[in-house]
Amino acid sequence: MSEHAEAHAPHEHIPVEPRGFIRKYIFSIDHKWIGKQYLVTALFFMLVGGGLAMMMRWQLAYPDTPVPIVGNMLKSSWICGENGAVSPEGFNQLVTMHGSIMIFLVVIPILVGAFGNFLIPLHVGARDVAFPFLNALSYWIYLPAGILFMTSFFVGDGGAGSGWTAYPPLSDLNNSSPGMHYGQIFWLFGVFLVGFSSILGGMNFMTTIIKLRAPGMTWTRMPLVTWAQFVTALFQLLATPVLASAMMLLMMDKLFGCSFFVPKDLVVSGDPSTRAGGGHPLLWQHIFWFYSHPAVYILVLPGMGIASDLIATFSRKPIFGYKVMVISMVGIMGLGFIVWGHHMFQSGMDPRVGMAFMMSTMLIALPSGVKVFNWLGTLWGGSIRFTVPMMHALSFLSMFIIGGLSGLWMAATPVDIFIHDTYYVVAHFHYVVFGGTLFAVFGGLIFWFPKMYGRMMNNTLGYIHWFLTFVSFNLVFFPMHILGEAGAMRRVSTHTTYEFLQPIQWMNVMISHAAFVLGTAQLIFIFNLFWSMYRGKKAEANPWQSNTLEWTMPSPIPYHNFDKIPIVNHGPYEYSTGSNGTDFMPQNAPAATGGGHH
Amino acid sequence: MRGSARLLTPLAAAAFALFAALPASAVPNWLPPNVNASYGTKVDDLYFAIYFIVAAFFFLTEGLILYCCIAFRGRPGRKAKYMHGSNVAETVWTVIPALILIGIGVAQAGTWKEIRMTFPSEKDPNTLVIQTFPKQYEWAFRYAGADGAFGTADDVYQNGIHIPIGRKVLVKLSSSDVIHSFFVPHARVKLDAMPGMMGRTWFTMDKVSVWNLKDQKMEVLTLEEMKSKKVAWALTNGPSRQAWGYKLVEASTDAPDAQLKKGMKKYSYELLTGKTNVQVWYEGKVQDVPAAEVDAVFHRYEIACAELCGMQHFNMRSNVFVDPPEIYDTWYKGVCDQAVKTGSPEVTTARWHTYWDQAHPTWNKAIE
Ligand code: HEM
Ligand SMILES: [Cu+2]
Ligand SMILES: [Cu+2]
Repeated sequence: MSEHAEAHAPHEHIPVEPRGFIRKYIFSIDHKWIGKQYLVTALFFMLVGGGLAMMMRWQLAYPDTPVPIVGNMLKSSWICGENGAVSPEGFNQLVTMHGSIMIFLVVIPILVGAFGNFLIPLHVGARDVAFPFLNALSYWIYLPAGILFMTSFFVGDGGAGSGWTAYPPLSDLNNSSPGMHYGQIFWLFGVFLVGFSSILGGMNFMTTIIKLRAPGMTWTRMPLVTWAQFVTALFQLLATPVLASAMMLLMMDKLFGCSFFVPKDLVVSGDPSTRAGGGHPLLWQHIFWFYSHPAVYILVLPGMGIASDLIATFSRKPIFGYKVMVISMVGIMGLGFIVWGHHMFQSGMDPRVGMAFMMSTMLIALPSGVKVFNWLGTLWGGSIRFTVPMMHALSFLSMFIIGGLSGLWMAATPVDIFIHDTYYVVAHFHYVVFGGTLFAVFGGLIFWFPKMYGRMMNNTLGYIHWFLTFVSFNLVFFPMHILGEAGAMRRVSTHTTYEFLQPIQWMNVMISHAAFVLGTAQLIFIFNLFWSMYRGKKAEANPWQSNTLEWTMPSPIPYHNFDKIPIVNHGPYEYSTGSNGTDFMPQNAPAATGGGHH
Repeated sequence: MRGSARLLTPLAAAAFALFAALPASAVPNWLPPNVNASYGTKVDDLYFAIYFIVAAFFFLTEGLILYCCIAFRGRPGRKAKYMHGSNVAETVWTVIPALILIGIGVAQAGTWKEIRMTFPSEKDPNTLVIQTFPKQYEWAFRYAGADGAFGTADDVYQNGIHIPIGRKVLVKLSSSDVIHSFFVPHARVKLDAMPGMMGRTWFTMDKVSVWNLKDQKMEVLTLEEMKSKKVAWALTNGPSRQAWGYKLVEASTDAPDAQLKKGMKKYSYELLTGKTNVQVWYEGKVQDVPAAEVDAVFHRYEIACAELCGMQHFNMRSNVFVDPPEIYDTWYKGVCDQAVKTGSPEVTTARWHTYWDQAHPTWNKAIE
């Protein structure tokens, strides 16, 4: 443990809380406050993204019928036609902005910006992140990025409409469809900035985890949440610059008439393109997915971390196979960089390359599978407490299984020929990202809420929200597998155009109704969150009898975190050791009472 | 883990046994009927093989979650078992899934190779080569015409296609605006039309799509099954068929009780006015019969665009008609004659000429 000796001294600098309103609440450099800023901003964007999804679902169930509530307001806008129904170009914008907002402005910022910020310093036993100013900067880059995204709707002839994947030439030629000019450019700037903010965050978190661990906080005593953040930070550092460069290249195409992604002789609606050509649309797909496959793991790894902590805590058992849990995350990262081609099986990419990507994709299911079994092993023999966070953690587990398993069909290339770009894919990624990650996020928020705001969230509302979400989530997304099996294409505004999709249109109607319930249920959560901030029951220091360092401090956590940098003597999951009269063992408990093998 | 292993093994065995025992027919099947006998069946079989493997894991894992929630629920006095893992268990659940995953990978490689890496020869007269050159937002196809060569004056331009039953169809596709994706659900075929490159894929369709007039629904029939049916033609069947007896009617169901069915269409074939006798394909011959005796009308399969391609993407659909060989031959001869006699409109041919014939002439050549 001598490596910590020299890292020790700087910790003893105790930051003093600034007095002024602006320094305290706006341009704060406190990791906890920045985490909350991320949280509230991302929740706001979640409501926006969710609203867009509701409009999409309306159109899919009742094609060309005026949208209730907002249809009147949006008449003859870019999204709705004269009668207040979603227009075809409006639908493309809804799909695009829903996906982009949820991925870039909601899930990644909540997981990394909110949870990463709030938890990492607490979990490693530090007073703040390594570079507090940089940390504030990354939030203040994320926020304008979000605003750019929103602005995209209101410039030129509409918002970006080429999907979150923005495949050129559609996204590249400014006149290829409404919204592809200024809307798409604003979108590109937005994604570029979000990426920039992620890179700053990744650097910061990595440094914090490597350099600022408290004495005794060895790598194998780190909570899995923090391990997940570490691997995620690595992912972000290695993959996000690639995304940023893709955005730059596409921007150069759009703004300066370059041709990175367009071949020559293109003609759009009778207009020959003035581009010199020589580029290739497949290049974009390679670059984009080289980032975006790792990104889907950025979208889930922190969720896996959160679920690990919740499952161990509420099973009152050490996590099953800690080392394997870590190794499998690192394995996911390694493999995560060599599977991107599975998004391109039908693109015309050389089928031999497809074969290689098929094999690597089969293999990447393995570390996820191992994690699932280890979570099951953690539950096994436990003494499970069905608190609201645990209900969410169990939902994470059971939904993630479904999402992971559906990946196998798509990894099987011949089957993917049929289900690629159908609702099957939509079902798959909503099971992993919504069913997986978002449940973990809900669970995590309720779990750490006392540390954030010094109060508990309301239990009854918590169970109601969980139940409604769990049931309606499955009613919305499970049938989408069937839609995909029937051949229903994704990103199509009106399935009833097609004769072969007529017989399953009733399912679209059913899904939409469930979606409205799902959307409305989230308002309960938002209400509970804000209500509990001010009215919730005052929280004790360690309401869940958990082990990690944040629970050794009062709720809410004081500005400078630790009065004295703790000395860590135990692993994070020493539950039910039978050695100290309780069924938990704080990480900084004196070594003598330890029964753990870490 | 010893106690748990005792329970785990029978549970796993039971889950697997349950699924192995289920007859394949018990699995709900929402796939559109497969009419591609050359490889569509293998795709579907693979789909269901994975279904069984996945179902076993699904019930095993989800069952264990439920079991744990019941058996290990926290009660006063209950103490969790203090343990950090088990190397044996972890090895087992790493190695077995790894073998299964690699197994699935290896097992399906052959099918992939057959579908995407082996092509019917373009020089073989039995291979029907069709060029596909979609644009926003319509499909466009080209046949070689009477001389069998592309990029010549007698090429046949179509917005939808006819193909002879069972013949290998080789599709060569590209695009000059954005990416589109050629998707024929019933044939289990899909490939992107990518600007700047020419993609090739092939398929067969081994059943004819007909509209059963009695039951008012689409049916797919083999040639054998068609023998006893009197099948007539509709206007939608294409320009050069002179024997039309029916027209396709797509009515929207706007009945007041149909709020839940918004957007649903009702399809039917109506006898053309003034027709009493119509030509049908019956017992392998074209014959005249009274309209009342007609069983069915030649119907279509649909072609969809599966890649978001802009504003009207949702509307980018076309038809493929599968014909008995003789019928296909008459149709093809008709369109070829027409191409020679009247030529094709400049608006249609210009984009093909500049892009395929002038910018990429090699794409017109047969690839061995
Ligand atoms: C467990 C193993 C997994 C396998 C084998 C797998 C496989 C695949 C494959 C083959 C595709 C492409 C399907 C297609 O477009 O035809 C895909 C799409 C996708 N996967 Fe996974 N996946 C797995 C896990 C995950 C996880 C954990 C996440 C996210 C947390 C995820 C998120 C996505 C997303 C977002 C897409 C769709 C991207 C798009 O086209 O918009 N997957 N997956
Ligand atoms: Cu992927
Ligand atoms: Cu298209």
